[in-house]
Amino acid sequence: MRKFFLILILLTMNRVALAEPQRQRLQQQSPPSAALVARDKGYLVDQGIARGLITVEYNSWFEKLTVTNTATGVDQDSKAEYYGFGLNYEQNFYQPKWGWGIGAGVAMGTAVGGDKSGVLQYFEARVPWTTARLVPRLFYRWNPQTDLGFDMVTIYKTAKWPDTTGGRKILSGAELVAGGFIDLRVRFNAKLELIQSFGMLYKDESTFWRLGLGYRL
Amino acid sequence: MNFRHQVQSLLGAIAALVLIPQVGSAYPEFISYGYSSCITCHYNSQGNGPLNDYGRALFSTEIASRSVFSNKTSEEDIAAKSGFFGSTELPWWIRPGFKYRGLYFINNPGSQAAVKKYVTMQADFNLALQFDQEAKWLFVGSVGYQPTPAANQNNKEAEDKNLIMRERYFRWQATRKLQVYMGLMDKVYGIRIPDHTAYSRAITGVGQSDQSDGVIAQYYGEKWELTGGYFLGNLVQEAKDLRLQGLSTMFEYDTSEKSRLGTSVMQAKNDYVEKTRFELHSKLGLLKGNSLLTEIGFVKDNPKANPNTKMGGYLMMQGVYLISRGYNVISQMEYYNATLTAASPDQTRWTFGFLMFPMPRMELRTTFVNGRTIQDTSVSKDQWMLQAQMHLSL
Repeated sequence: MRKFFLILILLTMNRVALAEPQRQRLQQQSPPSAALVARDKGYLVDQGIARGLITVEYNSWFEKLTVTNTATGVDQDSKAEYYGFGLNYEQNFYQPKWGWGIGAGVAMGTAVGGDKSGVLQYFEARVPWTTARLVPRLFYRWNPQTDLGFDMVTIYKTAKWPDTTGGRKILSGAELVAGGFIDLRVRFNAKLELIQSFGMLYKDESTFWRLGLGYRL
Repeated sequence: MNFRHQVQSLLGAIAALVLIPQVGSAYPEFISYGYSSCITCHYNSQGNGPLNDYGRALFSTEIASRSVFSNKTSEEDIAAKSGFFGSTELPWWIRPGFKYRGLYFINNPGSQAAVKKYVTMQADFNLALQFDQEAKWLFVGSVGYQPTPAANQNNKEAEDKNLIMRERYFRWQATRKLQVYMGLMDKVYGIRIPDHTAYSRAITGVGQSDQSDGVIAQYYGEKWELTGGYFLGNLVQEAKDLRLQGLSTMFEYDTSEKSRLGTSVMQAKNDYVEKTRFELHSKLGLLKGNSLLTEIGFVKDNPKANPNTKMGGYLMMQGVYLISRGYNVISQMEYYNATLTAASPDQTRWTFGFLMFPMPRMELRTTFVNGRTIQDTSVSKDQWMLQAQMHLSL
């Protein structure tokens, strides 16, 4: 199969190297309409995108869940999976090629976690949680409609994992969590912005997803 | 309303907002270059399958990097080399082609359960024969390699064939606005992205080898296209009781020069199951080379032996963002729930990486895929996959 692969590559190279008279000319594309040009130029107006942004997002991440027998001190680790919605306000400041911003918001949802096997069997679903977070960000302005940036996030989290049998302490991650995200933004127009962001949370090294839509005020 | 339903509602709302007309093909993302209709580049007006002369030239001169050419080489010269034999001209009535797609992947890299594998996904020879110079009458055939499904690789008694006829159809341009297709071809449904493992293709039954015999008619309006088809299943390669027979139709409307909205519905049944699919989609071109494709759909499989009234749903959002000519970032998010209730897991998948066309005829993809499952009964670890793909279009 590898030989086959190499032959195919060589064939491809040969096709490119062949130089003979022109066989076909590309059709000329008609120039973009005035409406299209105006729409695209609209994103270049920094005043339009420098206003505050309200975002609604779906968030999902993992944490380590530790169940400890308070009498014996024996503990057992498993995973907890969090998912829910967030509402944020963000202010960005745009330079010609880059920009920075800061955002803050709250989120809430439910979590599922635990392990049905092992010595300390524990499993719970639909455990409510809330978070508050602060997100400074730095981004490269890829083009007038697209930014690619890096977000530093600090999250304060509350989640009450119930212990129905007693004598156990259930701890999921930490109350204060930090992380770093890759953040890709795409503006459909001066008002709507798509947020595609993922990254890692310290210290459980859990992947965090963030997908949302922003509305510029 | 429980939280899972809230998640589904939000994803639905995001999709709905993206589908709003104000914002704005086998590679429908090229709508950002101003090509909203697949017939520009493909013999099949629904996309996929062999490229026509214009599609070959466009691949070379607009999509692929020109770094292998000297600065003195003009775009016209590059276009002239895009034929099957380079710039050696073939008779007008014959256009051969070859398509290869290979994938090297590592499942769950870094873990003890890591699996590394190379898979030839596709190796097809195709041929287009024109019966007149205006291409009013055309035949397209494609024969090629199909990998044995993973589930059957250790089963010597399985009857999976590796050599298959993927396409064979006649195209008749009845009028300037009406085209009719007859034979074995892809069914009309949804956005044909190249990733045949995407939920929008895999669970809807329009995957890489799901072609069906039938008849398709497509009518072009000023700003819209209407396509309808009747299919009979694969008459040569499928057993009679397994052949899915039914109807599908698609309507697409250009809301602007680089923005198209569409919807399609498909109904099919065989001796064992009745299948219904419905979807809404948006193809949104942003600045040149930047695009966002969105498809939200509903799936219902109703086995005759065990009737089912529940409907599943999926969402696919694929963004392609140009770095420089030939080099792009791709980000694809997907969601699927088999019943759209808490009884079945929420499955999400994020594919992120580079989509590259370093030279004419060649496509490279390097991506990671993160799959996540949320359900009330257990906590599943994330699934990770590193992928490197090479596609050759000779």
